[in-house]
Amino acid sequence: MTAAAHSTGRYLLVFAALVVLTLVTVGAAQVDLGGANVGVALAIAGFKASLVLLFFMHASTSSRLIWGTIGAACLWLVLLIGLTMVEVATRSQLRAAAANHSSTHSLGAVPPPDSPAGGFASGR
Amino acid sequence: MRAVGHIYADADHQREAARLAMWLFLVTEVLLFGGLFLAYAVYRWQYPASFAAASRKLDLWLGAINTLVLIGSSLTMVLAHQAAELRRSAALAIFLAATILLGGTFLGIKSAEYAHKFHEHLVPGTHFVWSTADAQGSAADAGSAQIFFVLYFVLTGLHASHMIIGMLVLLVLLVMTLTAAQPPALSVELAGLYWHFVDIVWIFLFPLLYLIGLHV
Repeated sequence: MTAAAHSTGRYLLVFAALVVLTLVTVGAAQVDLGGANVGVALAIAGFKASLVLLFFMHASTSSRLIWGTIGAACLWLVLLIGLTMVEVATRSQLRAAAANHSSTHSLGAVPPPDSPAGGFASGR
Repeated sequence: MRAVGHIYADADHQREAARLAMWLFLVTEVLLFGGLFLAYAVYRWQYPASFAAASRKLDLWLGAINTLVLIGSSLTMVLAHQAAELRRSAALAIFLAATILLGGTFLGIKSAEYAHKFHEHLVPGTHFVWSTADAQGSAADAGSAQIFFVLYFVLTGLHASHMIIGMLVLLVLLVMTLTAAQPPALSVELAGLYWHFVDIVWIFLFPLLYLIGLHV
């Protein structure tokens, strides 16, 4: 990078911001925010990572091709974790809904799976 | 600068191709760590109380100090890159050595933490011990607490192995600087991209492993 020559001050500023944000995240963890604690910690971590990415890794002055590459990594990470967590978080609700559905609409014909009298196992 | 390969229009074009290749490698690294972060997310969703109780077993202050050490090493790394661009060999050698030294400090603190976990029987396996007092009245049980420590050791272990590889690369650059001709600025820049990526991984690992236990 040709801009490297005049950047010492900016690097020190980014470093100072990262140190302050580390102390902020340790401080925020001491305060009870309920379920929001994880969200706050991840938001601060995301901001710190952006500072490293933009200034230490020079993404701010990189080509659009490299921006696209970084974007692709972020997109796949969001799909991987986001979509999986949508499934995990709603799994128990779906199971409850399915159980509810079968008990109200099947005229009580479906016995519990471990019932000795029910299903195809009764002939044995 | 060495000769430009015949498929490139000029030296800038060649450098840009090298940068792109390094970024593509880092994308594959994002997906490697991403799978482990996903495993963490799924199991934490399933066992929030156990993860909180197990997380309280980690030393928050050692984790915070290591975060600051690693951020400091990123600063010296980017200053080494700057020195390479400006062709200042002495500054380059000093900043490369400082980065390696800070990396070593991180690994030293990490290994002390590991030793403590072995001593406290918190390493997953047949010697894992989890008393009911550890749970502090929550629903935490030994099985799911052990899952936290599996993820802790795999994630921090993989991160530490990346740091060792990074330090070896920096060591080669340092030896080149001290003995033969100064390494190309591009080599220092690409090594820096890798080093900063490893720093970013830790920036996410620190809160997820050390800070989630204080309040669920």
